[in-house]
Amino acid sequence: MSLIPLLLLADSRLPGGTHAHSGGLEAAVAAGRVHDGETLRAFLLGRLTGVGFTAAAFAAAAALELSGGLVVGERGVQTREAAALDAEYDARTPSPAQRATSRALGRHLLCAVRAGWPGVLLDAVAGLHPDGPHHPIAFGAAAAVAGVDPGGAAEAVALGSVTGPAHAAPRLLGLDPDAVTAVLASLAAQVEQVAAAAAKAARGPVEELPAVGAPLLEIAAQQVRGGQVRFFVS
Amino acid sequence: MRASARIVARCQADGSTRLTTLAGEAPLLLRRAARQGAKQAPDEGAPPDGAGTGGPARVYLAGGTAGPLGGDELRCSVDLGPGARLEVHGVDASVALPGPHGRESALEIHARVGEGGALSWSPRPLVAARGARHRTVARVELAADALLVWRDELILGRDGEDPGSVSTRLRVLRAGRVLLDREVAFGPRHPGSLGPAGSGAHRAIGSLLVVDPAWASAPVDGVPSGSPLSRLTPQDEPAVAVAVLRLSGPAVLVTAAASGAAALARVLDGAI
Repeated sequence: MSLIPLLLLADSRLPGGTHAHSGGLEAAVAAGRVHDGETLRAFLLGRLTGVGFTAAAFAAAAALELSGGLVVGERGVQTREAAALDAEYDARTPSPAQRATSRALGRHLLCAVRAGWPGVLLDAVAGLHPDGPHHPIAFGAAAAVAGVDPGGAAEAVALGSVTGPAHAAPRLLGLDPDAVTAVLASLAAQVEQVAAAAAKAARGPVEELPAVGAPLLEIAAQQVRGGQVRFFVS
Repeated sequence: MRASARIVARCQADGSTRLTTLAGEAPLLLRRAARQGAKQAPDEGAPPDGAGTGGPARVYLAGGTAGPLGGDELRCSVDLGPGARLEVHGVDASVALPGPHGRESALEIHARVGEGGALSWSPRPLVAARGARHRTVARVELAADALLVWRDELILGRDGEDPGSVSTRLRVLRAGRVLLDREVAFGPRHPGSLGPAGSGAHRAIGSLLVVDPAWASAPVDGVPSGSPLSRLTPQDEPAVAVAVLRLSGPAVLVTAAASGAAALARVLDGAI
């Protein structure tokens, strides 16, 4: 696998819309649960091993499923497996606010990636749901067309589950960006472990893919929708 | 220890529900509830449980022993035929304890509810004592017009004690399609789970799933009005955090965290 496409997809400047989201950090700060570097690290670790693990496994599963391309049958492009993954991820996201965020980010990601890797596959995945596919499914599809293997997709999504909120931390907590980098670096080994476990799980049956959630993130996500948040969409 | 329990309920011609099988063993003992206005029904040859009332059959899940202990493998199956209605309640909280060899204890629950059936599953909380390793996996298959109430409460450690490790996964299929698949995991074996994205400062974590096919036509965004669920106030406070989540289907998940078991129970009681 070439590393460059993976770096492109994982680049936070890829216009995929993630910069507008704090991954629940803003609400956690508002509730007083996160207030310094130490509590930020604990928040990011919980996010990584919970929703990060689940999302990474789905991205890897989508990449695995779609890396062989799509079967074009009599009724057009067959997206049954990708649709099944999208439905399974939907069932693993009980919070309507988190579902909406995930679909919006999936839609934005595909818009950005289709410019670089146009083709029938991303068009079909974009059409899985009127609001867009869930973000991990979109990421897996992007990985498949860009030549990133499932393990790389898992690594990028696991990393993204912590870098997104981490990059919101200077603004929300007034933390020195260098301190945020130190926190992220301290999580590198855990990101690798979670990505490896996610890539392994992706080779199993769809219904057994990870489903780990985080109650306080779900609760906080609904509070966000209630209008408490000022800087970020989520 | 290996133990299993099995409940089979069938709807009678008069609309009442009869428990055709009720078999359990410690720590999964089953007790038939006395009917209101009737003497305690005998265990064998009991009359239809909801006879004359049209109400659901009622069963109590009693531990009968300590545990689950590390190494225990427990299985529970519940089978409701078309139109059958069953409530399963708990007697006492169960306390997951470490076993002699550091192994995990596991409880597998498999429930099926037929057309027009209704299952209410509300056992008492599970307490994860220090050093425990426990896993619960529940799989529920619902017919398209079946009703479900499913309650889960986890208490992270006994009073003043560090929590053990515990996970609960609930997967619900409705008419063969996945409606909810959700695992929560807490404790020292689940990194980050006791931090601000996991349980935070809360010691009691719970959820209540309500599936009601009558909501299939309600707008997918909101909580159905007129339901007790609409009375719950979403909040994210140090004492109680609760959200009412509408799933992509005729179902609502109440997810809650509280400083203690009693506060959590009050929140979830208010949702039914």
